Parts: sequence; structure tokens; C-alpha cells
Amino acid sequence: MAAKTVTPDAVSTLLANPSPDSTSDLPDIVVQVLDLKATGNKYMFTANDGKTKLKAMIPSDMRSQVLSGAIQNLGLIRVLDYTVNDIPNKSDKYLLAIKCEAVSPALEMEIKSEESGSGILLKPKVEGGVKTEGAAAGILLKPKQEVVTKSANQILREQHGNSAPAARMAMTRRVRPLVSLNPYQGNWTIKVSVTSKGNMRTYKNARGDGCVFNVELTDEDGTQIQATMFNNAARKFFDKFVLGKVYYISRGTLKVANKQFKTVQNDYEMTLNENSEVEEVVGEASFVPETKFNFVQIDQLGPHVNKSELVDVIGVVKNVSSTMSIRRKSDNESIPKRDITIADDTKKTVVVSLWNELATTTGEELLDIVDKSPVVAIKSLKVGDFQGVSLSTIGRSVVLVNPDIPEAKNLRSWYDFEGKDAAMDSVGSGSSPISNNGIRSVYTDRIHLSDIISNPSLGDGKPAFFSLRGHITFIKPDQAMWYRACKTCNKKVTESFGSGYWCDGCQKSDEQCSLRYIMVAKVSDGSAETFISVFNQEAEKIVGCSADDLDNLKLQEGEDNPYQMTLKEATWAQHLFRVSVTPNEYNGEKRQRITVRAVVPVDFAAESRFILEELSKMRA
Amino acid sequence: MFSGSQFDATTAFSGGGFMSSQPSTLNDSSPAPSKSRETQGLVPVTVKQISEASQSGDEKSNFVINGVDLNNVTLLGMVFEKVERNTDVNFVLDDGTGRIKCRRWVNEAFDTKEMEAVMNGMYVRVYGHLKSFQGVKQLVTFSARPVTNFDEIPFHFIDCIHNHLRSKIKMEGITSSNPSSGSSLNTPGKSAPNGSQAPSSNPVSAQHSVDGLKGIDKLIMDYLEQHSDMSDGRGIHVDELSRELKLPMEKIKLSLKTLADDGEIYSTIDDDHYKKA
Repeated sequence: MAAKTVTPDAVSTLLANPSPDSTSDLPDIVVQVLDLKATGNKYMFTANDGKTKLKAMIPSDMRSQVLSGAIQNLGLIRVLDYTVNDIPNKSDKYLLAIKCEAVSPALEMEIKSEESGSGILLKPKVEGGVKTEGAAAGILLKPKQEVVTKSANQILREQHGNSAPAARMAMTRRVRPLVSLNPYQGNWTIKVSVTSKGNMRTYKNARGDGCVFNVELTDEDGTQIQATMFNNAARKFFDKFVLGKVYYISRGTLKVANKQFKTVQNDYEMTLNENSEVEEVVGEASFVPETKFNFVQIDQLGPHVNKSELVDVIGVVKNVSSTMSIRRKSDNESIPKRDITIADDTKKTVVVSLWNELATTTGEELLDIVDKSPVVAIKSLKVGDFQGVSLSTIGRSVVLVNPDIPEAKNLRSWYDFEGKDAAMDSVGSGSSPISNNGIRSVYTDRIHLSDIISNPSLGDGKPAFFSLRGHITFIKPDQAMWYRACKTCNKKVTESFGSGYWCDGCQKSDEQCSLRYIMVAKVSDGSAETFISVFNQEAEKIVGCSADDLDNLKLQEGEDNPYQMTLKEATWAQHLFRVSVTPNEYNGEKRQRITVRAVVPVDFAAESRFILEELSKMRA
Repeated sequence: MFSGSQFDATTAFSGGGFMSSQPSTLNDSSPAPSKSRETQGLVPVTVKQISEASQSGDEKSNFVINGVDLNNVTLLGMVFEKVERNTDVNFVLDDGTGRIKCRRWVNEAFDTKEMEAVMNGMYVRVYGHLKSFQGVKQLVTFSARPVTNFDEIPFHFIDCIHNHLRSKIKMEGITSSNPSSGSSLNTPGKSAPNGSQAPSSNPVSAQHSVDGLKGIDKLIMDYLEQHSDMSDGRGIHVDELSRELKLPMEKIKLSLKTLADDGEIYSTIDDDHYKKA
């Protein structure tokens, strides 16, 4: 401990052992802190062992050591407990220093080990040349630093010729945070890292062929902005921008972000042209943005089904499936997939499909700790209608396990006190109970009856599917409500001479048959009224009993007439329908056949939210 | 043609009556087919909207709100002053915006049974048809049922606002979708399908698998494909899509956004012209 310096190859040791089991097994790991800066309530820095560098983070509970000055930039720390994680969707890794202690305050400069340096250390007297007691110690330290300083400068100058322009730019022009940018400023310079890079895309429009790509830029404060480059600028900067690297950028133009295409939370978006200046900052660690969430509660996912906006959710993990392999249709490639079920304090559950690396790495982690009911916060999920409501990760989704955010703490408290024993049901139940048929949610493709009726050619070629909310206004009692069906295959049977029923499909006779609905009803909404065809499963939901039961009621003559009463009870009732529309011809007249594919009761609370959303769109 | 359709519709609609009370039940609980062609369906309204509704012509013509004829309406409110008689049940409905008299004619056992469940001070949902009787607006009630899920109360008022705003927007011509004259032109050819004839094949085979694209998305993609040649590089304007497909503009724009995000289409000379990718 006499010599205060970094542990040789400390970073390699950290990378080789990403998740140590016990601190007692850890070797002595001392690293130098570089580029220390606050990000939210955490601190980001670069761990330096003189030879290699590694991006690192000090969690919020170690914050006091930084604030008190024990841990300083250019100082030394000893890592007592840590994890090395992959940055999601990037090849970089970063160190999470769970426990660490200060070893030394700030040194005069960044440590870089060299073989000649080792020689100097081995023979200090020869290097010093002076033999007096106090003077000898001082002289010993000073020559070493001088030699190293010169060498470092020479190496930097030789290896990175363009660092001087970057430094000059930083000194001559004030670097502005992204939040301060607006379209009405003159010269500005930003210092940002590339946190997402899109593909180069080609297009064709009235002005000819072109190409475009965009990047997401993040500054030290975590603010993000999207930058777009077209044609010459795209060709110029596509190779220059490397994911994870840091750049000074100036002379771009800003405009109000197009809400339709934006992917980051910023009112503005940037366009770079070929006159824009982009200078790489050498040796700078990428700014890992603190993930900002905009959570949607699980019971309010319904209106988001099949919309293009992505949602963030937080929930307690209730179940983790094994990894499945899904073959992709486009290129016949197998993709790993894992389903987890999460719940939140709305007492609803939803299935989240994790894909690719999230399925294998994060999913495996969740499978190991599912007994402890971890909290997951997931950013950028796509909402689908499989089994009513389901969630799916995409390429840039982020999954945090037991994140240190207030929502996670609140959810943990709720779960420990109440949620653990609460009865949960799927958020999709009620909105689409016929999930095994893959019928879409009743919240998508919502239209009004007049939209169907006014378009007689709707469904030409292929049937058109829509959702609507309507009232049953009439069911004619004396129509033929059902047909006799085979109990096995549900096909129509004919009455045999003698006894029993003959089924052509099964090619056999049976003593019994069942009745199945095929009925016509009148449906109205606020815009129009029309007839619908309803088959057995859906008709049972409308009428409230099976066709066999209704037939029994019909046979009961009497003053009360329970058959009529049942039909009247089904009339003047409101439902959500999923319908298919096809044109039909009858006696030379063109008609529409509107067939009900699914019926669900109206969830008035969800429907109110849905209509309020429609109202806000109408006013826009 | 027209009279033939009307005759067929009337016959098919009323059908043969097995029960003695059948014809009167039809008249009370269902609208006449001739009216249903030219008016809206079943409109959620408040009592205030009814009080402001105008009536053109004599007492037998329909009420008009926002220039749209009312046919059947639905209200939700609290029951007061319920009076039961042999021929009918009267009550006053108060939904917070006003009070309206409701009359339920009693023709058969079901009518009596349903009205027995309705009590003073209770929230009910009412379906009916507006009438003017001796200068006073009344609701001839087809159905009145107690509210069991009280989320339905705020839902009803939100639904009234939504429907009112839709009618207003349509009247002001903000969106070019679904002119009422077009609707009336289309409906004469429409009459009741022959429900008495069951399909000969397995009804399961009548179902179609759901296409990958949603309904509206499919319509747009088909239209863009059919017209991809004639519009060279300019693309199809959203107004043309809305007009030709007869769908509301907001539905068109929502689908276009989804399709553009999926990469199925792209915008050309501006944000309002699209072509198939």
C-alpha cells in the first residue's frame, strides 16, 4: 500500500468476471476515476487502469461519497462489489460499482502505464541522481511526472491529429445543452453522443431520388434530439457517425418536431446539411441517458391497442416462460422469444413478449429471480391485440429489473401489502373473449354504421372487418332462429325416416342433435340502423341462452310466453361488435351482409375513456 | 322499384303474427321501416337537447337536432312520479339537465314485468321515440331498465357529447364523409335478408380468416394499388381517399400514419399525398 496507484489490468479483471458471487473472492481492484459527472441521481465516470478504460456508474446510494469529496475526478477508488452489464442493444459494456471506497484524492493527471515508467519505479535513485533525504523524495516524484507528461502529449499528438481542432472548438465556442436550443438562435455547438443510428434509406419523390438517415443524439444531461440528414449530408455523415461515440456538432438547423415521425421526447428536431460541422471527440465515453419513463397503467392499455405510439409499462413479474424459438416469415430466421406476465396495482395482468437478446439474457435473469417477484420497468413497447391486449418488445425497448425509481418503490409497497394475495385477471379479458380465434380487439377499426351502409361496395373481393358499438333494436320472434346440427361436427343434419338424424359430414346417424343459432337482428347506433347476421356463439351472448334452451322455452305455451320474453330482454341492449362486411346479391339487388364475429359487453369505464380520446382528436 | 322495395320490406318486417298482440307490439317497440331509411339510428340525448329540438310541420313529424332528424333516442336519468294504470305506465325522467314525461304502453306480460322493476328514485336507461302530445314533448318508451353499472351514467353524457359533436361537424362540413343524401340514395335497395332460409353449407366455412391488415388499412392499400399507375409520382391525396372510400378523414389519417410507420406506404410531395411502397 505504500505506492498509491491503480491495479494493473483491473479493467480486464472486471470484464472477465462480470458478476462476482461474493466480495470475499474479489481481488484488489483499484481504478482511477475519469470524466466524473452527475446523471440524474447517479454518477457516471470512466474507470481507468492506465491501460484500458471502462464506462462506469456509481449508484445513488454511494452518492454521499461523491458529494463529500471523498471520491473525486482523477482520484482512485477501490471497487468492493460490482456488476458489469451490457448497454441494451449496443456492444459496449459498463461497470456498476455497487460498493466502492475512496483510495486517493485527485491525482495531477490521468495515469498511463509504460514500460519505461516501470523502469523508473524500479530504480528511483538512478533516475533522481540526488542523494539528500528530503530533496531525494521530491525529486523522485517530479521527474517521473515530467517524463510521463511529455510522453502522453507526444502520443496524443501522434495518434489523434484532429484532437486539436476539437479542443479549439470547445474553447472558442460555448457548448450549449440541448434543452437550450431553439430555431431562432445563431451559432451554437453541442456535445452529444450517438445513442441510436438508423439505416440509410432511399426514396423517390417529385424532386427525384434521394437518401436519408437519422440519429438520436444525447447530451451530458440526458436530453435527446433526433437529427436527420438528406442526400449529400447523409452520404457525408453516415460513416462518420458511429454508435456510442461523442461529437461536437454545430451549424445545423432546427425545426418543430413532426409528431408523426418523432421518436424522442423533444419539441424540436435537427437537420444537418453538408455545411454542418461534426467533429469527433476522441476518447470520450458515451453519455448513457437515464431512461425516462411515461408509464401507462395496465388497465388503460386498451385504447393503445394497434396504435403506432409505443408505451412504457411497469409491473411485478408473476410468471416467466421458457425461451421459445419463433421462425420469422420474411427471412426464415429463428428468433428467441420469451413471455412474461406482469401485474400492477390496477390488479390487471398483461403478457409481455421479449424478443432476441431481451428474451435470452434479461429473460433468463428474470426466470432466476421470479420467486422474489421482481419489478420490471419496460420502455418502448408495442401494444397488440393478441388475446385482447398484449405487449411486445421492439429493437430499442429497454428492460430494467428492480429499477431505482419511485414508481418501482410504490409498486413494491403495494405488492407486499396487498397485491401478493389479490385476485388478478388479464387486461384482455372482457374486451375480446374469443381470443383463440385471433379476432382483433373491439377498440381497433372503430367505425359507425353509416360508414358501412353508405358504401355498398365495401368488402368486394375480401371481407372488411370493423368494430362498432350498437344497440340491438329488434329480433323477429318468428324467424327461423336455428338449424339442427350434428353434435360432433356442427354441420346440418337431416331427419331420418324412422328415427335419428343423418350427418353427411360424419356419414353416420345419431339419435340426437343440437340446435345452433343462425339469426338476424336489427342493430342501431347513433348514425344508422341495419340488419346483422349472427351465428351460434355470438347469438348466445346476445340472447343470453343457448338455442336448445330457447327452443324449450318456445314449447312452453302460456300467457307469459317465455320465448318472447327472452327475446325482448335481449332487445334494447348495447354491445360491442366485431363485424365483417361483404356485398351480397339477392334477386338482382346489391346488398350488404354484415356478420357478427365477436360480441362483448360494453365496459362503460373503458368506453368513456375511448370516447374522450375521440373527442380530443375531433377538436384538434 | 321503390314501391316494390317498400312493400317487400314492410311484409318481411311485420311478418305473420302468431300472437294476437304481435302487430301492436311491433308498432310500439320498433320503428316503421319507411322512417328508418332517412333518419339516424338510435341517438343518445339529454333532456336539454330534447327541449331545444325543433319540430317542423305537424305533430306527427320528427324532431330535429342539429338539422338531423331524430328517430329513436336513448336517455339515462332518475325516475319520479311513477303512475301505473291498466293501459300504460307513466313516469317523469330527470337526468340533471331537465325533466321529460315518459309513457310506456302495456301490451303484454313482458311490459308489465319490466316496468315493475322500475321504481321512483332509481336510475334507469330508457329507449323510446319522441312524440308531441297536446303541445307537450313526451317519450313513448320502448324499454326502461335499471342501471346496474353506475359507470354507465357518466358514459351516457360523454356519449351525448360525442354524438352531438359528430353531428355538428358533419353539418358544418368540416369532414366530407357520409352525406345524408348519399345514404338515402343507397338504402332503397336494402331490405331484410331472408332469414328463414338457412345456409346449406357449414356456417363455420362462411368465416374468413382475418387479413394481416386492418379493415381500413386494407381499403387504403387496395385503393393505392389500383390507382398507382395513373397518378405517376404525385401520389393519392388524403381527400381523395376519404371521398372514394367514404370513410371519415380522421380514420383515413390514422390508418395512413400506421401504414407509413410500417413502411407499407410513403408520403410523396407533401404530407397529404401517399403512394404504395
